[in-house]
Amino acid sequence: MAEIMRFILIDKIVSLETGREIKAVKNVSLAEEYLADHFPIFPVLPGVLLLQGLIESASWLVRKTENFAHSMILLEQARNVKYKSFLAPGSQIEYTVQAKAIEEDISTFIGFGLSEGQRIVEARFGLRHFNLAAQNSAMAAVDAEIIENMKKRWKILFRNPEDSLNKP
Amino acid sequence: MRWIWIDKFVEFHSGQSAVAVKNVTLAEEHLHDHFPGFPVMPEALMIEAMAQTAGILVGEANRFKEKVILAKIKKAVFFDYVKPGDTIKLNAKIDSIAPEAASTSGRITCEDKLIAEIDLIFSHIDQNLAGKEFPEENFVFTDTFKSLLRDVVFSDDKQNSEAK
Repeated sequence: MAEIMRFILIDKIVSLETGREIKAVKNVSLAEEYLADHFPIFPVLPGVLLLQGLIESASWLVRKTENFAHSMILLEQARNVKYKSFLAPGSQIEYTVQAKAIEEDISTFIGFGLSEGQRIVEARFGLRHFNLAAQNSAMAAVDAEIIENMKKRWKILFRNPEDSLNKP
Repeated sequence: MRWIWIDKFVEFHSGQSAVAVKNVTLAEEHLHDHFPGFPVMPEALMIEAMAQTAGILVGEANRFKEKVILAKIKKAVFFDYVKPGDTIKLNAKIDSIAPEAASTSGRITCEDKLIAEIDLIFSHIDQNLAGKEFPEENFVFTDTFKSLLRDVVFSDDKQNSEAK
C-alpha cells in the first residue's frame, strides 16, 4: 500500500553516523495547509514542528542504531527548547541531532536547527523506545507492521546507495 | 492539517488559570502517520495544545492586545501516550506576566491519569523583538481562537450582567 504523508516533518536525511549524529533537512512551503492558520498574514513554521523535526531526526538515529528493534519511539521529555527566529515559506532548515546516550529503552540528545547560517531552534530532549508486545503479547503483529512501515519510510528519506537497506 | 489543537475551554479565570479539552479522533489525518499501524497523538502537538491553552490565557490577560508567541519550552515531560477516542484535559496557569513576556505551567490529564507536565515561556513580540517588523493586525488571536471561549463566562462579564 502506498504511503500517504500527513505528519512527516523532515524531507530528507543528509547524513547519519550510527550511534552518534544525524543531519536532516526540511523545506517550508506555502502548500502546507497548517501555515494558513499559523498565522494568517504571517505564515511561519510552528515552533512545536521545529521540535518535531528534531524528534523525528533523533528517532531515525535510534531506529538505525538499534536496527529497527522497536516499533514505538516517543518523546519522553524536552527541556530548554529555545526559539531564536522565525522560519517562513521558501526557506530550508537543517537539523543536527547528536546522541548523548542511546540505551536499550531510552535515549538522550542535543539538537539544533540552522537556516542560512542562522540558528532557529535548539533543544535538549529524550526519547523512549518500546514494543507494544512488551505489555501485551497479542500486539506483536502490530509491532511488526509498524516496523515494516517505518523501514519503507526510511527508504524514502535516506537515499544513500551505500546503505544496505536500499539494496534490492 | 489545520492548526487548532484544542476544542474548547471549559474553565477560564482571567489572568490566572484555564482548562481546555481536546478530543483525539481517527478523523485527524496526521494520526495515521504517527504511527502507521498504531496511531497516538504526537507529543509535539500536545505541547502545542498546551501552548494554545496557556497562550490564550496570557493573551486574554491583556485583552488580546499583544501578539503572544511561544518563545521557549522550559520543560515538557510525558508519562503516557494518548490514543484516538481519548479526551485530554489541559490545565494551564500563569506563573508570572510582564510587559515583554509571560511564563505558565500546565498539566495534561486523561480521565484521572497524568499524561504530561508542560512549562512554557511566551513573548509579547512587539515589545520584545527589537528591529523586527510585524504586521500591525493581531494575527495570533483570530476569531477562530476566540470561538474556543464560547462556553466560558468571564468573571467580569458575569459581574456586568449581574449588575444590569
